[in-house]
Amino acid sequence: MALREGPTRPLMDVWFKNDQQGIIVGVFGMILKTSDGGKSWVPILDRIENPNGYHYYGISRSGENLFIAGEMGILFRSTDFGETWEQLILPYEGSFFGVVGNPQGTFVITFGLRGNVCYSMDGGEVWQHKSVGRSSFSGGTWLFDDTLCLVAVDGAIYISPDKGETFKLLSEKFPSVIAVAQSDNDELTVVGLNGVKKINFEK
Amino acid sequence: MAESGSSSENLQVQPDDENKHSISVDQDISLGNDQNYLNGAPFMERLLFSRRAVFLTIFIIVTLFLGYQMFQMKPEASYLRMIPTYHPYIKNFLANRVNLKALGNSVRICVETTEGNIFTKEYLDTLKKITDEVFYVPGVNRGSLKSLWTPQTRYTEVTVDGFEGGQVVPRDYDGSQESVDQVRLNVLRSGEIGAIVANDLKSSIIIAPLEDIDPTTRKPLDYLEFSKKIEAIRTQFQNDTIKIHITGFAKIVGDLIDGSTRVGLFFLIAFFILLFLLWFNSRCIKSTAMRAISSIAAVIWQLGIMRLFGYGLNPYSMLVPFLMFALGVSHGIQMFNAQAREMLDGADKLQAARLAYRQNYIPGLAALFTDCIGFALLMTIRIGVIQDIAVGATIGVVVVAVTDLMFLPILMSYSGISDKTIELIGKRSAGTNHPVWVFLSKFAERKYATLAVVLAVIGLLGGTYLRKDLKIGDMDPGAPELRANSRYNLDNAYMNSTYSSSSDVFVVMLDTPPIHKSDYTVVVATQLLKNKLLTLKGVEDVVTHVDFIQQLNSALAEGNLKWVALPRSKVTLENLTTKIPENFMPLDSKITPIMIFLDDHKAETLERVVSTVEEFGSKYDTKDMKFLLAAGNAGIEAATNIEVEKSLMLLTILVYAAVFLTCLITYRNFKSALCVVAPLTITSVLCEAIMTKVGIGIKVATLPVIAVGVGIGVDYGIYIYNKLIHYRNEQGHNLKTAYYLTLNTTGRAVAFTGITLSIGVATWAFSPIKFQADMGLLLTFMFLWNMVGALVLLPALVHFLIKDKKGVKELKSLIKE
Repeated sequence: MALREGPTRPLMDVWFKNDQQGIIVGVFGMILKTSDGGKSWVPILDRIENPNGYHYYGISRSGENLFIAGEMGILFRSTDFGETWEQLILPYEGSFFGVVGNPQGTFVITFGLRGNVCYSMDGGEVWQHKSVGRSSFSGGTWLFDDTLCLVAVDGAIYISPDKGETFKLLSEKFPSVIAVAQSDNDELTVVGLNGVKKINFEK
Repeated sequence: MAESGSSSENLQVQPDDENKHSISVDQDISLGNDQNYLNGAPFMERLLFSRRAVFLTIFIIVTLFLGYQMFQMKPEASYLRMIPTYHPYIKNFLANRVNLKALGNSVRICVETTEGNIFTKEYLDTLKKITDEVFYVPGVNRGSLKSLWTPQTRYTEVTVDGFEGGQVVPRDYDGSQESVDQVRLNVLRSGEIGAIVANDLKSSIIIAPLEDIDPTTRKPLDYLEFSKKIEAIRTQFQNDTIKIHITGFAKIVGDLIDGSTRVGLFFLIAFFILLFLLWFNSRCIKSTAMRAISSIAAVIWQLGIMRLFGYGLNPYSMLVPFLMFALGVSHGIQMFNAQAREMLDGADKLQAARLAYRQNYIPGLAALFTDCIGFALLMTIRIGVIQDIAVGATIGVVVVAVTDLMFLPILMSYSGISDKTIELIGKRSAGTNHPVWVFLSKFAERKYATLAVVLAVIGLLGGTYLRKDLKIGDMDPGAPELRANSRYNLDNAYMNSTYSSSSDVFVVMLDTPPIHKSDYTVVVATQLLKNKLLTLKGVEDVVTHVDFIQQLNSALAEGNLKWVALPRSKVTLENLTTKIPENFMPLDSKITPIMIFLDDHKAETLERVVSTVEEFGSKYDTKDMKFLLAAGNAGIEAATNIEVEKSLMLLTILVYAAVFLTCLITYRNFKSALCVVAPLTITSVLCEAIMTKVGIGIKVATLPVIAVGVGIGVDYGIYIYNKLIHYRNEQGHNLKTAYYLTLNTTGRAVAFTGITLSIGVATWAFSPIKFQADMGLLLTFMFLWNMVGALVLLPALVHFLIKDKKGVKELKSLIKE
């Protein structure tokens, strides 16, 4: 089906285990896998149960778990790097636009519509729900020193050094930001519809 | 007899020579006899003077009739007449105007609070009242009126359940703090910040789209009335804490018409100054009054005739009467001088008037003819207002010919000239040591002539070097028709700085059949053009229907920014296209606008956009997808710049060719024509050099300056050259003496002409309308400098070029002074 449609279905996020193996996810439940560093891709929709074809918006690893978050509050977890997937039920039913977790596996957070976030400190068993700001979150990253950074569509940038307990809003904004990465000890680089910007921050 | 020494400090000239000026080569009119002078009177003279009472009555009746017509004239300002409607870009615009709703003819009323921000009960109350007042102004399209208070101003938000939305000012608004806070929240959610709410939150805008046809009167919108009503609203609501700024094309037109009415005041000032000068020069009230009457008659007739032909008064054509008045005054001086000299010789007022007529009507006609050429050539420029000037001025010149060469002589034959004045003139002509003329006559000799030529060459080279920086179009921000510190432009600057919009909009029209609008190729091509345009210096932003498609795509996916992209699925594209707002892109129209917002409307910026789009179009246009230029005020200006630049070259060549040819025909000698025309070229070049220094570009208003400056400027040269040759060749004086004599007679008239013409146009420099001020400045310079050129450079050129007295032939009937 995917091949017949041709390139009409946008792809939303990508994850690589190493330089050969990776998974890419997209709208209407599209999920593809590669074993040759991206030269060729194979659909693996049969491994994941998404009968309504909800969009996948984010794929991210935290510890030994792989998470996919998407539309209408869906969240899938894989413990075997994408071979099998189980759906988890979260306390929020609105759409998630991304998921991010720490390398140790002790914190994973999904973020999405109108400032809603859900996070778990035990690999996805127990989840909490919070509302941070009013604007939908569009991206996030884990910073060097075990700190979370989330960005929202109105340009707000949040830092949480305490695993979601508190969120601090940076004074500098970058409207229509889509993604963030840490480029230096005290510097973030953000990208979005208005281009690229470097932002200094303190914890 | 005069000495013909090579150089002499003292000029020795017998006063008797002065009387001989009235001799034509063939006939000898001796005066003092009673009726002999009637012999040899040409037909026109006999006709005119034998029935002078009849003609006088006719002229008075005509003046009254045309005066009545003149008072019916209304000021007008038609946009279409100021742009080159034959240019392909403008043709594209006019053909597709109906579909370009996004451009809209609207007025923006910005209500600013100087205390705090707009989220207060007081501000919102005031805004509501103003919105209501604007609603009732005739000509406003009520259904499309937009402000914070209108129901169409809404916020929408994406929620779990889909879209949520409402009016920014909710129906249950009650002025309480909660209500006001709610409005604040809604504004933040509405996306209107930067659009109708300022970025600094200190003002908001009421957008009032206008109807082209006033629904109540069924006639085209009366811009002046509309502007007045809007101004009344401004006056009503402005106070210590509320300031109102208004922009929009209708306001520009209103301000133009308003500024034009002050032109009448300038005319009065010029009139009185000239009247004073005439009196001061002659000290004769009678003849001054007669000359004033005939010159005013010229203005009345010109305007009356224009009205009969259906013309109104636009900011360009209303300047023509000034020129006609000045021309009338300057030609009237020739008549006056001639009559005075005859009366000095003993003729009575009727005789003197007849003789003056006899001497002047042919040279007068010839000079007016050359004036006319410059104006007539303006018809080659296909811009309405310039052609209006051409028609108005050509009619004006014919009118001046009748008033100066028929009406005035008759009037002067009744009034005569006072004896005191005759005496004064006698004394002046007899003098041989008038210091200014003595100094100027040096330019006929080698030393000073060389100096004059050297200075001329320096001027020519310097001017040519400077003029390479000559710019086309307008370089100042805001409405180019008005001054930088005019209220309109200050308002415009305020709105540009506090809102995320620019007032310089260049629109490219994507021409594609409605079914192809959502084709992927069309959509991608549009985006590609947008990206190219965004890289250009001077382009602030570009809005296309593709932006709407992308934003709608994202909106339908809960506002996820990753969806702000072009879908490839045909079904999706079609679906999204139907949701694009109708007032940006009517669904069934074959024109989709690409709106380019610019930093400025300088010629370089416009050229960059034009060449980028032309190049893109030539590469990618297909039968079903064409990127057409141009619309929007910046687009129209680009087309106007192109047309003006082309016309400048053409017009300059034509004017000089025509003037040179006329001189060639007159003198049948290349060198003679050169002497007369060469000083004009230096003035033209220097004029353009001044334009670069002062920051005036070549535009619709400055184009006629060349034609008018040269066409009228050549008069001086003709008068002086004729006299000079007459004194040297026919009376046998050396050049220096001949020139002194020329100066003593014609020179004073030439100087007077230069000054009267300059005063006629100089008052425009105070006009609130920038292009009138520019024209005034440049024409003043040209008239004065042409005068200097004729007085200084012409004799120098004659000294070097016309050495052989016998080699010069003149058209004999033209030399009768």
